[in-house]
Amino acid sequence: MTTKATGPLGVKQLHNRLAVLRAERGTTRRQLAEAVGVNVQTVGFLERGDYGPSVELALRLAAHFDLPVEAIFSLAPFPPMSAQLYPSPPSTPASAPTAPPTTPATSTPTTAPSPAGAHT
Amino acid sequence: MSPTDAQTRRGGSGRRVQRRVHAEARVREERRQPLPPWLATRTARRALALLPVPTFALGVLAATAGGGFTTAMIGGTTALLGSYGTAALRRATRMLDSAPQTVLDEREISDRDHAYRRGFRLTLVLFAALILVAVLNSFLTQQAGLQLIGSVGWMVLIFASFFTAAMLPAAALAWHWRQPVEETDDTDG
Repeated sequence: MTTKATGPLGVKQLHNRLAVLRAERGTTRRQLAEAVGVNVQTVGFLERGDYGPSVELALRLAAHFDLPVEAIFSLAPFPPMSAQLYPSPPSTPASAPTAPPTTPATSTPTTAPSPAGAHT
Repeated sequence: MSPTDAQTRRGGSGRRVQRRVHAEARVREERRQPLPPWLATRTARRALALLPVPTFALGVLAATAGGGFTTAMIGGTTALLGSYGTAALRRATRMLDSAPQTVLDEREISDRDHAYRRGFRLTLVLFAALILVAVLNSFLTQQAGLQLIGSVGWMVLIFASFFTAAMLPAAALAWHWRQPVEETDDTDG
């Protein structure tokens, strides 16, 4: 996941989840590069956030991962995966009765579904 | 058009396509070769990117050497340095400035376009330097009767400028070359 907020001269950078998605699918950079028709180095530059893809390449990547483009690319930084999988419970007032503790992994999520790219 | 003409034309076009396919395959193969260690570092690439400067400087020196053997020697050195510089810079930048568009992806085409833009600006600087040399030569000839560059000198200088200009896009690429991603830092699917 790209973590840079702004590039030099305040230019907005494109954040992406390519590295996470690639790791999740267990594909190498070379395999992904061949699948979308770019140089293997270009995949590396995309993952590092050093290169912003064209609309065509972004759509090809989205089609490859079978996800909407906005699940892979975003102008705002993506929240950490752990925060989406295990959202911290909302702070309760001191007078409210304390709910019994639940195991995060087994609890039913009560928040809205996270973006498609976070389903990893 | 007779059938023979059409056949000949098709044959010529087929040969051209075949030649182009061969050339592209050769460029792809050359680009796939790993860089020698001495070219892989950023310092080496930046040092190579400065080669157009001594090439042009040697050209000016050869042009002002007064003709004869000295001019020929320095001119020859300029040509050697220019040829070596062009080849080394192209090797260091994986022939990005000269590879056909069909073997490049969109990032490489974008990088190359940026390099051409910088190369164009640098070529204008080169022309400005040539104009300056011409004005200085003319001024010295008229005011002091001292001709710095003769007709042979101008020929050598134009020759050196040609080599310098040919190197500029690759030099711009080498200067701004981004560190490639290590392939070992990868997932083995």
